[in-house]
Amino acid sequence: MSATPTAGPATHEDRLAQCIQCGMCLPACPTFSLTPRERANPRGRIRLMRAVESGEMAEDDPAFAEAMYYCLGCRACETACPAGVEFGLLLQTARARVEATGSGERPPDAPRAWLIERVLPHPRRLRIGARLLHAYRRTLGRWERWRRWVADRWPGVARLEALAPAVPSASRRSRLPDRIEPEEVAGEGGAPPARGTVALHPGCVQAVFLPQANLDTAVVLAHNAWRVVVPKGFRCCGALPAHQGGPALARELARANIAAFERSGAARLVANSAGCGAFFEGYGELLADDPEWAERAEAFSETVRDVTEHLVHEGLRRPRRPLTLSVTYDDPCHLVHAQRVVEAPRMMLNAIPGLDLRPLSESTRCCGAAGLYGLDHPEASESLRREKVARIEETGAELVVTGNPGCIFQIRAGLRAAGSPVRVLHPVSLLRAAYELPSSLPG
Amino acid sequence: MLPERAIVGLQEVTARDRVLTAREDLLTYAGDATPLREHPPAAVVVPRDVEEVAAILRLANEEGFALVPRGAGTGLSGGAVPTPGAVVLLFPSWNRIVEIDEANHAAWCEAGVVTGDLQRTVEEKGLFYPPDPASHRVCTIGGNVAENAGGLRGLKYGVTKDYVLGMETVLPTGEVVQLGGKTVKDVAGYNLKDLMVGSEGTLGVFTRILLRLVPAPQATRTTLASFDTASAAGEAVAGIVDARIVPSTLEFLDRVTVRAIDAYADLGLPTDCGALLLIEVDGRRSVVDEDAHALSRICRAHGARSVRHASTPEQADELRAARRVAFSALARIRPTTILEDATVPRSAVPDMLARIHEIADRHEVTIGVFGHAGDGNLHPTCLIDARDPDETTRAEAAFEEIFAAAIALGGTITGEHGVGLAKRRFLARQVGDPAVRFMRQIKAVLDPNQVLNPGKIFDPGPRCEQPPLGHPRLTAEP
Repeated sequence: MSATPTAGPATHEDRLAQCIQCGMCLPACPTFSLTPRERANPRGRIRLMRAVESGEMAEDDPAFAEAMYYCLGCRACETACPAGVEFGLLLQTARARVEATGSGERPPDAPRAWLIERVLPHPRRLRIGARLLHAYRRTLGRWERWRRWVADRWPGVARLEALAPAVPSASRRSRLPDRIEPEEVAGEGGAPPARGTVALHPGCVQAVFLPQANLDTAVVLAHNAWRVVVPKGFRCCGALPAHQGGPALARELARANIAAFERSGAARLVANSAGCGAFFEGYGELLADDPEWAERAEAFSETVRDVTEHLVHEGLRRPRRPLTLSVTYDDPCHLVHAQRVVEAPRMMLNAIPGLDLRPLSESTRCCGAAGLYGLDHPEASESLRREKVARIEETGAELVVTGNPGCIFQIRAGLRAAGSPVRVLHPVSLLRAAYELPSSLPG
Repeated sequence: MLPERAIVGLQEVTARDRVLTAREDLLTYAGDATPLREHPPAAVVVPRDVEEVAAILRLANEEGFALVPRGAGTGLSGGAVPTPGAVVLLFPSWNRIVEIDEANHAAWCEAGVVTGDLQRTVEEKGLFYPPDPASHRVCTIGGNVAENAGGLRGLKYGVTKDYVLGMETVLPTGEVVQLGGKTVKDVAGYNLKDLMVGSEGTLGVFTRILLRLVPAPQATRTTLASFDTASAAGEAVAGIVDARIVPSTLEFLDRVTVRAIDAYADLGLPTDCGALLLIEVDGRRSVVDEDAHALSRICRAHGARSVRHASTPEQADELRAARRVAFSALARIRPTTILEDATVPRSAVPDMLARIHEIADRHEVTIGVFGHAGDGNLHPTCLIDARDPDETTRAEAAFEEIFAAAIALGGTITGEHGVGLAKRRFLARQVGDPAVRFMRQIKAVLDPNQVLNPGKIFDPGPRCEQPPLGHPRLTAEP
C-alpha cells in the first residue's frame, strides 16, 4: 500500500505529511498508556520527526533519540490509523538518522551494537555465544556476588544476560536438515505426493534458542505434503539492525537472503517468526532505491507467507484425534499489525479437534518484548509483560501460543516470574503435537 | 516570553516534574487536529486537583500569562492551539468516573474521562450517554463540553449541551464554582452552566462534570442504503423526515468518502455508488422493526440501489466504525485534510450539497462530503497538499464561499467544531457585530486579564479592552 498517490516511491517527507494528527492511534499505543505525554505516542513522535525535518529540533538532540527509542515499534498505530500512515517505515528512517549522528549512544548500548553487528548476523558466533552463555549460567553465573559485581560495572551486559532465554541443549535432533521430503514424516495415512517446495527461514535467534519451533514447522509442512528446503546462505533477516538504526547492515543481509532464496528453487518463503516475516515482506521497500536489487527484492517479498497463513490458505490436514487442552492465542505485533494476519492462526488452531480456544482480551497489545526493547527500557518492558500475563491468566487456559520467538521468551519469563503454571508454545508446535508426529526427525 | 518567575511559580503550585518546558514536550503540544495551525506553548503544566488548577489561574493573573486547557487534542477548530507565550493545561490522569447515580440517571466524571469509556461503563448498567463525536474513543468529556461536541446521534438525541446537568468549574480569576445539579428543574439565577458549555476553554476550566444519562434503547437497527447520485440520497433524507421517523443516526457519505473508507477498512462497501446513507433507528423493538421496514421502503422509493440491514451487532459496529473514520480515511487521498462543519437546517441539505459541489468545481479543489445529514451538519472536506501554496489559497477561498452559502441558507459556520482560531473571521458575518460585542463583554467581565485561552472565538479586541500595560497579548495568526 503506497502512502501517497503521487508517482514514484513515497519519501520520508511524504509519509510524514500523511499524518493529520487526528489522534485515532492514541488508544492503541502501549507506551502512551504508560507515559501519558504526547512525545510517547505516535502523533507526538511524528511531530518530532517533522521538527527534525524542518530544523525546529536538531537531528542529534538526545531527546529526539530517546523519543524514537521509547517507541516499541509494535505498529499497533498502523492498524488503528485510518489515514494509512506507515509508521514503521517512518520510525526506521528516524532511528537511522539518530544512529548516523551518534546521539543514540548510551552506556547500555555497548552490548546492543556488539550483539547486532558482530553476533546475530553470524550463525556460528551466535551458536558459540549461546554455549558460552549456557556454561556461564551453570558456573560463575550462579554466584550471586559475582552477578551483582557485573551488574554494577556493566549494567547493559547484565541486562542482556537476564534477557537472553534459556539455551536448549544443542542435541543433534534439533538440527534442521537442508531438505525434508513429505514421505519422511508420513505419519498416519501415508504421504501424498509433494504439492510443491517451500523454503523455511530458520531465523537467527530462533535457530539457536528455539530450534524446536523450526523443526516442528518443517515437520508440519512436510505432513501437509510440502517439500521443505532450508537454503544454505540464509542469514539474519535484518529486522533487528534495521529497527536499531542500521539500514546498511540490514540491506546487506537482505541481499544475501534474496540470493539464497533464489538459488533454492522454492516457490515460497515460509516464515514462522512474525518479526522476520514482517521484515521479509518489507524487503521490496528496503531495496527500492537499489536498481540492481529492487525488482528481485519485490519479487522475493511477494512470495513470503507466515506459516499459519500458508497452511490455512493452501489447505490444512485436520488432525484426527482430539487434543483436550485449553489454549489462548496471543497476536504477535508484527503478525497482526505489520502482516495483518489475524484469522489464519485462529483457523489453524480451530482445526484441532477438542481444543478449547479461549479469547485473550487485548490479544493485539504488545507484550513488551519488541526486539531488544528490554535492554534500554526494562521498566516499560516489564509493565507490558505484567499486563500480558494478567490477561493470559484471566483466560484460565493451560497454554498460550504465539508465533514469534521474542514474544515466546518474554511471555514465558513473565509467567515464570508470576509463578504461573501456564506454558508457552509456538502455534505450529501445538499442531505438530495434535498430529501426534514425533518431536524429532527420524534418522 | 514567559517570565522565569512564572515557571517557578507553576512548579511551586504543582511540582517540578509537573511543569514541562523541554523542547520535545513544547513541540508536541503545539497543535491539535486542526491542519495548518500550530504554535508551541511556553510551558505545559499537569495539575493534580482543582486547588492546583485554581492556583495556576491565580498565578496566570498575577504574572500575566495565558492558559490553554487541552483534552485529547482532537479538536478541529484550533481551540487547543497555544498562542505565543501561552501555557498548556493537561488533565491526563483526570480519568475517574466518580459516580454513576442510577436512581437519578446521572454521572459525575472528571474532565479527562474518555467519552467512549464513559459510554461503555454506563451501558453496562443499562444506561446510555448519547453524544457521540466520531473521535469518541480518544476525546475527553472536558473537551466535549468545552466545544459542545455533537456527533452521530444529533438528530434524535441532541448534542453535549443537552446532557450537561452541572459542573465544577474554575473561573478565569481562580474562583471555584459549582454550577447546576441533579435536578431536572433548576431556575436559581442565571443559567451559567449553559454559558460554560461550548465556551471553548475561554470562560472556565472544567474539572468535574455532571452528565445526564438516559435508559439504554431496547433495540437498534442499522441500515446501509446506496444511491446512484448524491441528490437522490438527499431526497431520501427528506423523505424519511417527512414520514415522521426520527432515526438516531442518519449519516450521508459521498463517493469520494466511501472509496477512502473502503481503502482503510475492507467492508465491501459499494464503491461505485454516488452516495451512501447510514441509518440507525433505536427504541422499543416493535417500533424499531416497523421503522426499519419503513426506511427501506422510503429509500427504495427514492431510487436506492440496495438497502442492507446489519444482521449482527458486530456488523452494525463495523458500519458505525466505518463512518467514524471518514475524516481520517480521506487523508489517504491527499496529504492535507481540511474538515469543516458548515451546518444548515436539514430541509436545506440537498441545496447545500449542490452548492458545495459547484464551489469545489469552480475553485478546482477536491471536496469530499459526508456528515450528519439528519441534522443538517455536513462535513465538506477539502483534500489538498498544504505544501502547494496555490492549492491552499484556492481551498481557503472555497471554504469562504461554503460558509457564506451556509449562512445564506439560514445555517451556521460551525455545527459542532467551534470557532476556535479557524473560523474567527467568519463569526461576525453569521451572528452580527452586536452579538460579537456581547460575547466580548461577557469574556471581559469573567476574564478581565484575558488569561484563559485568549484569541479564540474572536480576537482579543481593540487595545482599550486589553489587560494592563506590560502584558501584551499576541494571537496566533490563521
